[in-house]
Amino acid sequence: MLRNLLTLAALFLVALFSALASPVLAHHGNAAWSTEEVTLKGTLVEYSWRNPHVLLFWTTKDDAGKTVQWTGEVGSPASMMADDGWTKDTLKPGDELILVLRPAKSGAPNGVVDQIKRPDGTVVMRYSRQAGSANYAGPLTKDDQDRRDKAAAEADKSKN
Amino acid sequence: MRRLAIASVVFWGMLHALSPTASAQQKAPEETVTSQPPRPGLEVPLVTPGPGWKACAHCENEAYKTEDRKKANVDTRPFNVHDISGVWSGNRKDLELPGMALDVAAVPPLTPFGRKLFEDAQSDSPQWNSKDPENTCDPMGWPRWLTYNWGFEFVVLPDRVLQFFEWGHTWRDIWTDGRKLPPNPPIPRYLGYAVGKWEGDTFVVESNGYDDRSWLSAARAGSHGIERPGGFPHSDEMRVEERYRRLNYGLLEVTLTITDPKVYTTPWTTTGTITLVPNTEIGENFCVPSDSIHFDDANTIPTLPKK
Repeated sequence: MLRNLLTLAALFLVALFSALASPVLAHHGNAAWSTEEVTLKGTLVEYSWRNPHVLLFWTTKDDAGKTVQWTGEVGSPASMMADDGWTKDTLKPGDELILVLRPAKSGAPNGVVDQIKRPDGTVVMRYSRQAGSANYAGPLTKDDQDRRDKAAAEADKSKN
Repeated sequence: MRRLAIASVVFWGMLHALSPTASAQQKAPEETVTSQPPRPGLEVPLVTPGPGWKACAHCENEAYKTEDRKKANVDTRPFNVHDISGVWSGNRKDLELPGMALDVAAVPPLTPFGRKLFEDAQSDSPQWNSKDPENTCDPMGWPRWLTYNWGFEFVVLPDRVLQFFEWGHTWRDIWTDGRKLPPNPPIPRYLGYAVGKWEGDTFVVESNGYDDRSWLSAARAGSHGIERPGGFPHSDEMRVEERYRRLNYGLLEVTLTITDPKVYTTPWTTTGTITLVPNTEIGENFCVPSDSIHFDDANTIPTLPKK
């Protein structure tokens, strides 16, 4: 029983430290952003493919049916290129998008975008490194390593 | 076995309860977000400018960097201990790390003058590091460019070693022609005045003449006795020593020592290991002041509480 309790305590501590580990944000911390994600459907107005972070401007309808313009950031162009193969042509004004984001705590229509899909389900951005350690930016787990090694082995096979 | 199963369930419950997304209320329930997203991998297309061009160090994800290192046999390949040329970025635990992290846990006690600088560097906002020189793309300075660069390249010339940085797209001269550090540098420099020499297998770089407007590193709110985010300062009398030693073809050990008696009561040493990223090129990754100001105006300042 004692051993079980100790095991549980150890697991709890591991979980606690995993949850508290903070993501690497170059230009600001996380204090302005809610930790609760929301999902919004939007129509892209502008795609700003620039440092320090790519910005997306889109319109979405609020609960009252009123059109609201939102602004959201993802990673830098180089990070987006690395993580999701983005280029300057990946998005264009008029694109319909489903955006998962953490909105500003202040209630302003601003957010850090964690994931983007198109209405047909195509994933445009998996979880960005902006999403925080619980989702992305933490160290690789054993499962991550295994998945990556397997993908690398498959890639090697296809080249031979 | 049953106990283990119960423990697992309890564990996942605890983990889920602590997850930042655990209590997320999805406004569009048909779009379920999984809490275990896939990591980037080789299924992501590698973007290069075209045939013959390579991806920039920052433009490759961890899986591609791992592939490049594997193909180059970085752990076993013969190497010249006196050749540190190549593109270096990340470390073995995290190939996507933007630079060698300063060991902020090892920060020495500040002098009274240093403490005042540190307090004054605090942001006026708990939400935003408003005084960070990086907000307006002021030069990162040294050694902050070592701790944040997204990749750097050593190029060895007969009379100097050039250190090119991807972030900021700039370089540092490390003179190896036998000259000494200037006794009283006429103009302070963000990257200082640097001379290098080999001591056995170690390339030793000494530098001085720093502009005191840069930070050594940003500092988190709630750490080191500050309530709001800020940065670790230095004075114009700071001297920096780096000792670079190639452990194998793919690993560079770095010992960084900051000596600044006006600000820190003892020298501040950080040791790290930086990984070689073969098959990449240093990209153009400028910090553009107008873009950074636009970014803050668009998605930082609007989120701050109204005064």
